[in-house]
Amino acid sequence: MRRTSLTLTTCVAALVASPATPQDTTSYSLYGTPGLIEMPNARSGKDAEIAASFNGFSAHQRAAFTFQVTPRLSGTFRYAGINDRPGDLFDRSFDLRYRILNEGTFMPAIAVGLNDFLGTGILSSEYIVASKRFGDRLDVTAGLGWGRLGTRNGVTNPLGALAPSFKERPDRDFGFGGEIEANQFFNGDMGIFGGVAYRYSDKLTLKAEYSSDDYTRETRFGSVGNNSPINLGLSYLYYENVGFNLAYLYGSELAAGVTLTLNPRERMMISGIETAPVPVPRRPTDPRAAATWGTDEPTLVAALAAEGIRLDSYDVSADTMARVRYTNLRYRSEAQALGRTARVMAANLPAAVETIVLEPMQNGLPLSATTISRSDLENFETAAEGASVIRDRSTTTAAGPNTDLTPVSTTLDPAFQWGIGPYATLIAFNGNEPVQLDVGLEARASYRITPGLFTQGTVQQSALGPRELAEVFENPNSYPNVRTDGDEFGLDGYAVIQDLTLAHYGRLAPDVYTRVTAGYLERMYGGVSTEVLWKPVDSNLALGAEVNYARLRETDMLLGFQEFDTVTSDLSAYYSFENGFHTQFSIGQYLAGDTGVTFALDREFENGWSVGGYLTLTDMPFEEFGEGSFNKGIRVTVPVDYFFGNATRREVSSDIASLQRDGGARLNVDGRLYDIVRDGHTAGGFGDTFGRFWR
Amino acid sequence: MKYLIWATALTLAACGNTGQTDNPARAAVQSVLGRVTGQEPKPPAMNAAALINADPGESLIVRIVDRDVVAALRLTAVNGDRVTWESPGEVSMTFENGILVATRGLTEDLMGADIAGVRAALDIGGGTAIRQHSYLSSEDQITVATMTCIIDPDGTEDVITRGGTVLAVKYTEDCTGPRLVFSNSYWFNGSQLVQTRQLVSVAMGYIQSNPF
Repeated sequence: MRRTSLTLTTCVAALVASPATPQDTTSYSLYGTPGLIEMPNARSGKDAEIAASFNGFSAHQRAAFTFQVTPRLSGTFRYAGINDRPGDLFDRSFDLRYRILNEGTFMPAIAVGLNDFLGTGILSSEYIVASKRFGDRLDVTAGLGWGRLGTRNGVTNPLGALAPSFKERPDRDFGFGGEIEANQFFNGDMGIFGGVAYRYSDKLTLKAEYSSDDYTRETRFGSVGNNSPINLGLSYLYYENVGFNLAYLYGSELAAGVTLTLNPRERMMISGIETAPVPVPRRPTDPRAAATWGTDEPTLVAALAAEGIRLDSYDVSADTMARVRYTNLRYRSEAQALGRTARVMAANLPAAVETIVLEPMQNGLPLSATTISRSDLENFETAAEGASVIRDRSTTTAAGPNTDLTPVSTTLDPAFQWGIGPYATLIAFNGNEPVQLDVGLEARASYRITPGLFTQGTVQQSALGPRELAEVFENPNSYPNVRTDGDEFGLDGYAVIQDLTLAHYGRLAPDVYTRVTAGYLERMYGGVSTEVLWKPVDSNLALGAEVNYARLRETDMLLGFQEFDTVTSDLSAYYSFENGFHTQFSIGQYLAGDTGVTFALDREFENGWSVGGYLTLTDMPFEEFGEGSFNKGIRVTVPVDYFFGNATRREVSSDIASLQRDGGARLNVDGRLYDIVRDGHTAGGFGDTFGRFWR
Repeated sequence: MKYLIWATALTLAACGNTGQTDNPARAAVQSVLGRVTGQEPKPPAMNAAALINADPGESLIVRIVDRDVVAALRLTAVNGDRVTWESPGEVSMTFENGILVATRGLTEDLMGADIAGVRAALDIGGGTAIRQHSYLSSEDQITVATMTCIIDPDGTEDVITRGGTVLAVKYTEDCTGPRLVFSNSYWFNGSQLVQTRQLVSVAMGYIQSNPF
C-alpha cells in the first residue's frame, strides 16, 4: 500500500508530568536496604517498592526483602549466613527505617533506623543518619551508629548524659529469639560513619564510605581481613529493575550482589491485554423491531460464556427489568466482570428492558446486587468519566432473595473439571536449609453438585523421590507437635493427597455468610471446618467466627488418621482503612490447645497486591514455643495478571518469613469466606477496581 | 533417564478441561512464540488478501504507527454517533463521528474520551476546544487527562481511498495538557473524513485510520 500523506512523523505523545529522573532510582546497600555500601543512608525507596536482593562476601551472605511500607517507613526481612564461628550460622533479622525529615534546600534528609531488633541480634544496630544532595550527582551521607555501627572507634555515648545506663550496651538476653530487644536501643558506644555516592551516569553510581562496623567477631574468627575502615563500591543498574553491586570491603574482601526491584503500583500491561468486550448497541426506536426481538436462554448462556462468565440463574418475568446471577470465572476484578455481563445483557435483551440487576456469585454465594439503567450503559460507554458516572448512577446493595430466580437448564461450564500440571513448592527456612524446592506433577479435580456445594481434591507426586527428614533446631515442649512434625509428612516419595474436601457455602441473612468444609483439609489435618461471616456490602468492618474439628493425618498423606485430634475456634474482626491498610484481629484457641490473639496488618493495593505481616501471641510460654518465641510472619499476595496482563483470577500467596512451630498454629483451610465475599463488595475488591467496569 | 521422563512430563503435562485462558504461563509462551514467529498475538497483522476481500464500507484499516502493524477492523456495533470496530484478534476501537473515543484490548487502552468540542471545531474549519481522555492506572483507577486543543487547517494532501486517490484538506489538532501533549490529524474530502491519525495512549502511540 502506497502512502502519500504520511509525512508527519514529528510530535510523539509525551508524558510531560513526571519523566523518571535518576534520583527516583534507589541505590541499595549490601544489606538490601537503601544505602551506601555497608552503611545506611537517609534515602527511601519509591513508595511501595519491593527490593529482593542477594549480596555476599567471605563473612556474610545476605538475602533480603525490603518493602517501602509508606513513603517514609521501610521494613526489611533478611536471611543471612554468618561466618563468625566454626560451622554455619543462619540468622533471620528484621530492620525498620523511618525518614523523620524530608530533604530541603539547605536541610538534609534525616532517617532513624533499627537493624535486627528482634531475637539473637547478631546484626543489631541503631542509627540516625543524614543525607544531602549537592547538584544532581553527588549525595553525601553522615550518621551516628550504636551496636554494630558503634564498634569501630566508638566514643562514649553522649546519651549517657541523660541516663548513665546509655553508656553500656547490655548483653542481649535473647532467649529463644523473636523478642524486641528495646533495652539495647541506642545503648553503648557510639560510632560515626559516612560516605558519598556519585552518580556517574544513569546506570552507574560510585560509592565510598567510612564504616563504623568493626566486624569484631568475624575478624577474631578470621573471616574478614579488616585492614581498613574504608569501603569502595559501585552500583550498576543493568536494567530498570535489575541492579548489581560490587565492592571492595575493609581493605581485604571482595563483595558482589544483585538487587531486583518491583513496584506493585507500576504495572507494565497497564490496562491488560484481554480481548475487547461486547459493545453496547443502541436499542432500535422502532417498536415493531423491538417486539420481534426475543432472548432465549442458550443465547445468553453462550454470549456470557464467551466473556468468561457463567450464568447461574435469572428472572425476566417483569417487562422492563431483568435480574441475573452469574459467576465470574475469568476476571480478577468483579467490577470488570459486572461491566462485561451488563454489556452482554444490553446487547441481547428485548428493547423493553430498561433496568438490569446484576448479582455476582462466587462459590454459590450471591455477593451483591447492582442495579443499572440500560440507557446509562448506552450513553456512557466511552465517556471520559464513564466509570464514575455508572458508579454514581447505579446502586449496589446486598443480593436479593433466591425467590423468582430460574436456574439455567444448561451451562457451558462443566460441573466436573480436572487438570494435570506441574507444581513447584518452595519450602523456606526449613531447619538449616534456607530454601528447599519440591517439584512434581499435580492432578486436580472438582465436581460442582450445585453452585454452593462442591467437592474437590488434589493429588501430588513429587519428582524428587523420597526426601530426608531435615535436621531441625529441636525444642521439645510439653505441647503436641501440631506443626513441628510437619516436615515428616509426604517424605516417602509416593503420591500424596494434598486435600480432598466437600464444601458447602450458604447465606443465612443478606449480610451473613456460612461455610462448612469437611474432609482432608490440608497436608497435616482432616476434619470439619465451619465458619460464619458478617460483612455488609458497603462496610469496611467484618466479623467472623470459626470452629474446626481437626484430626492429625498419617504422615504418608493418604487416607489414614493418627490419634491426635483437637478443636480450634476463633473470633475475628477485619477492618480495611481507606488508605489501603487492612487489619485483622483474632482471638481464639489454636491447634496445640493454646489460646491467644493474632494481629495482622497488610498494605493492600487495588490491583490485587498485598504485602503485610502477622503475629500470634498465645499462652504458650516462649521457652515452650522454642526458636522465635512466638508465631509470626511476613506474607505477600501477587495477582498473576500483574505480570502477564491477561485476565485471570489467579494469585500467588507466599508466607516468606514464618517458622512453623507449635504455638499459635492455625488450620490451613482453603476457601475461607472473608476474601471471597469481600471481592464482590463496594467496600472491597468490587469497589476498589470499579475503574475496570468498562474494560 | 528418570529425570528425562520427569522433565518431559513437567514440560508437556498441563492439561485438563478447565479454561485454558486461565493459564498465564501458556499465554506468556504463546506471546513469546508469537514474537519469535513474527506474529504478534495482538493486534494481529493483516495480510493483503484480507484487505482486498474486506467488504466495502464495512471495514476500517487501522495502523498502529509506532509498531507498524496493520489490521482491518470489522464493524460490530452502532450506538448513535458512535461506531465500534473490531480486529480479528478482538481488539476494538470506537469512533464518535470519526474521532477515536475508546480502544479495548491494547496494553494501555484509551478508556474514554470527551471530544464534542473538537468535532464542533472541525465542522466550522478550526478553533479551540477542550478534550478529555481517561486511562486506567496500574492500580485500576480511572485517571482523566484534560487538554486544550487548537484545531487549524494545514494544507491539502493526496489520500488513498477505496475509490482511488483523492485530494483532502488536512486539519491538525495540537493538544496540550499537564499530562499529555500530542498532535492529531484529520483529512477531509468534502465533508467525508477519509483518513485520521490520532493518539491512543502513551504506551500505544498513534493510530492511523482509513475507512475502506
